[in-house]
Amino acid sequence: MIPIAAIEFDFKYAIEGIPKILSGLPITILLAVVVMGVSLPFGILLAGVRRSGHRVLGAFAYGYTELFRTTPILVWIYLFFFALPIQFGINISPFWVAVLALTLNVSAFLGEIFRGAIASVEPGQREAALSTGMTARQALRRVVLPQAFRRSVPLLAAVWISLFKDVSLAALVGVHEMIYEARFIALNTYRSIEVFTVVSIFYLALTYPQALIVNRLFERYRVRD
Amino acid sequence: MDFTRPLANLPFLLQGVWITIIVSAGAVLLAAVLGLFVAYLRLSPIGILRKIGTGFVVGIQSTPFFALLLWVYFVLPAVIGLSRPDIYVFGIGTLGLTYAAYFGEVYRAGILSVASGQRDASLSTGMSESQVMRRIVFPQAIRKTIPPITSLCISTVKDSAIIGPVLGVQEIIWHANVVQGTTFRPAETFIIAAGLYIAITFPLTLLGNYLHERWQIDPVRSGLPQFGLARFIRPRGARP
Repeated sequence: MIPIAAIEFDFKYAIEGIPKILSGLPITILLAVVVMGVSLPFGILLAGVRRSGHRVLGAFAYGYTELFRTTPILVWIYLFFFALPIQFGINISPFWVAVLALTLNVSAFLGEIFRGAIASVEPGQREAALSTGMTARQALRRVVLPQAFRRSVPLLAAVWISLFKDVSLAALVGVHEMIYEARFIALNTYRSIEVFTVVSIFYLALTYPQALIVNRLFERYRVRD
Repeated sequence: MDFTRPLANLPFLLQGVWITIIVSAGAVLLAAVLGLFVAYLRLSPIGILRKIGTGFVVGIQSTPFFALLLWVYFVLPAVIGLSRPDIYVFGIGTLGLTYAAYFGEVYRAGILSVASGQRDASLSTGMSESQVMRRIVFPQAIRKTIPPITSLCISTVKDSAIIGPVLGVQEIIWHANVVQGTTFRPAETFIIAAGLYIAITFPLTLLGNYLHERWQIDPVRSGLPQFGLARFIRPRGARP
């Protein structure tokens, strides 16, 4: 490691590059929205299957959840990015590769959240609903699920934030989102210090307000037993 | 699916497994220690320390690990005056620093979850603040934090994958990329890579479940020592 005498900061290129970096923002948001939109029904399905008590399907859902919870998203991004065109002859854009890999990961987490939320509703609630003459289906739809949904709201928001950050991984397969654009500018101007500072500040400015909203949601939907 | 050629490269991939384990273990150790400082700052009665702690946690948690990695690797060395930073030191350091924020939050939640009556009761018996923390609050807090800490360790292993392609640390993904390029079998190669990650994270899950059950503060259960494989494998309740 060689110590260097002085560094000069020159934010000229970084500031000129701001529109280019921000041009990646719609892609980031679009990717996150598409992934969340596809993962929500998929997560509900997973939770339903695991609660149904069906042995084969339940085991499959359990295996799916554990597989995608314990392996990095990057493995799946690279797998689909290389394997689909080379081995299966499917021409797929990097954007949809990222959607596919992130959806597999996020739906596993959402499934666990819904399952935990349903399990956290006291059994007494369901029993009371049944004792008033509701059918099992009615008790689920009118008593258990509304409470379970309330409990899962802040956790869903937390998953959204981590998804918003994980979308940056799509840059590694060439999706033109913010970090991709920042690295592009850094490579071309040799001003990586300034450019990466700017993009970090952008992420901070974008995610922090969302995190504040999540905190509010946690306060608002706190369970009082 | 033809696993023969990627499997022939298994010894090569296993080199990556060791690097992943070393990087994640180093990062977890760093995070576990630094997390204590973060929790200390966040719980401090002094306003300015609390603000510093909150600022650190917010800054880390609001930025993707990818961006943090680029920032720490390119910006920090320039500021402290290094021209060629070591990728391993900076990879482990960034991962550890990132997870210190998460560990700190878990410790803080654990400490706050211990009923305040316990603290008051201990103080009234004449214990000092540090004694109360060490003997009463911390042992109870650590038990409650086992499940979230297990998840954090698994997340650390998963996030260590990003260091490979970004900085060139030769962990599992880096090796898998070499193997898929030479064998033209990316699907099989990355399925093996996923299996290698599970081989690292699954024992962590088992250890977490074991410690969680063993150290549970439940008067009924704690009276009944249970042994057998079932306790290790069956996950209890919904974990995040």
